[in-house]
Amino acid sequence: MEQKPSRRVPEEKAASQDEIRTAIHSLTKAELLRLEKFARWRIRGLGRARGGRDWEDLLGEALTATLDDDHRRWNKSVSFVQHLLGAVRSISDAWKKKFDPDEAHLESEITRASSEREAPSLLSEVPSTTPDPERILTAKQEVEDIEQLFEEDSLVLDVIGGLRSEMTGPDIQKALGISQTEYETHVRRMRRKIQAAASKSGRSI
Amino acid sequence: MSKKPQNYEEELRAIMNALAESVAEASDEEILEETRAQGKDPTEAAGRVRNVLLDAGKAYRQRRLREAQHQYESHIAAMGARTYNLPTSAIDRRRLLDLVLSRQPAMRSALTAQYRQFTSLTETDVESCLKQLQELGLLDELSKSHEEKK
Repeated sequence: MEQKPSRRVPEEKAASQDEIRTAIHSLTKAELLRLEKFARWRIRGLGRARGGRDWEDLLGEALTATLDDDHRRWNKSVSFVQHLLGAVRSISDAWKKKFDPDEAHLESEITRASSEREAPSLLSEVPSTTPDPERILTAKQEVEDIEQLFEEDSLVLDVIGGLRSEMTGPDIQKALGISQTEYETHVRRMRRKIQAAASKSGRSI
Repeated sequence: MSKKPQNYEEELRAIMNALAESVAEASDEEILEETRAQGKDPTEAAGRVRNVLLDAGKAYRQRRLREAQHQYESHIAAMGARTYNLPTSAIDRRRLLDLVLSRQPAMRSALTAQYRQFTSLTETDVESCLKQLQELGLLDELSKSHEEKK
């Protein structure tokens, strides 16, 4: 049986608890804000799988895993920020993997697409195993809202189309015949516009 | 060939993750400028993020301390509840400990740090040492090897 190479960080490269504490205090403003924004987008992408958790929980979990010798020790050959970004990435992926979309959920947990306020029903405390049409509608609506934001920007729409088809950045660049710089410019434009739209509607990303 | 059903949740995740990666690659100036554009003070906002990390670290350390404390208390309680097969007199217990340590000097390292100064042990210390050695199965081992030699 093929053995996978050990991912254990060699002792001489693993950061101590004191070094981690020092690294936190040494993070610059930009680095801290980068971590926050990254965690916010990753949480937003989890949808239902976020399970009521927010970006602070995700970032906190990344730090906790770093402190735990049995989990994600920080290899000092990478920057602390890069390490934490990697931890946020893999923890959010793990949360997604663990989430069972068919799991029973409470009606009261469902994000209502409608803005109408309804009287709480007795059903709100009864678990349901039927698919959640409102949840599916919310994701569909979000994707459609994003596309609507860029209806006049065909290049960004092409990038969004590629992402929706599970293409990677390089695949999209190749398919559209654009450079990495052009791709990053489009994505940056997407990010700013989506962020601005969210702020306008009172929602923070 | 059946058409793959559209999974809007996965599509949304792909879009959001791409935006996250663009943040990872953005310049410092872009990050700061974006924060200001959102009407936030970068210094204040950054301070809050640092507190999230520091609070997570504090919570982790407190949890580890509580776990260690709990394990220690469980261990002490288990020792208190157990029956130990030790000599009844203090002199005999001290003799047994001296005998054990003279035959197996390596056993010193099996005992907790507070018992390393063996010349100044109280009767309670001696009893506690022997109980620990019995917990570790070392007294039984010694007794077994003594029987085999006979």
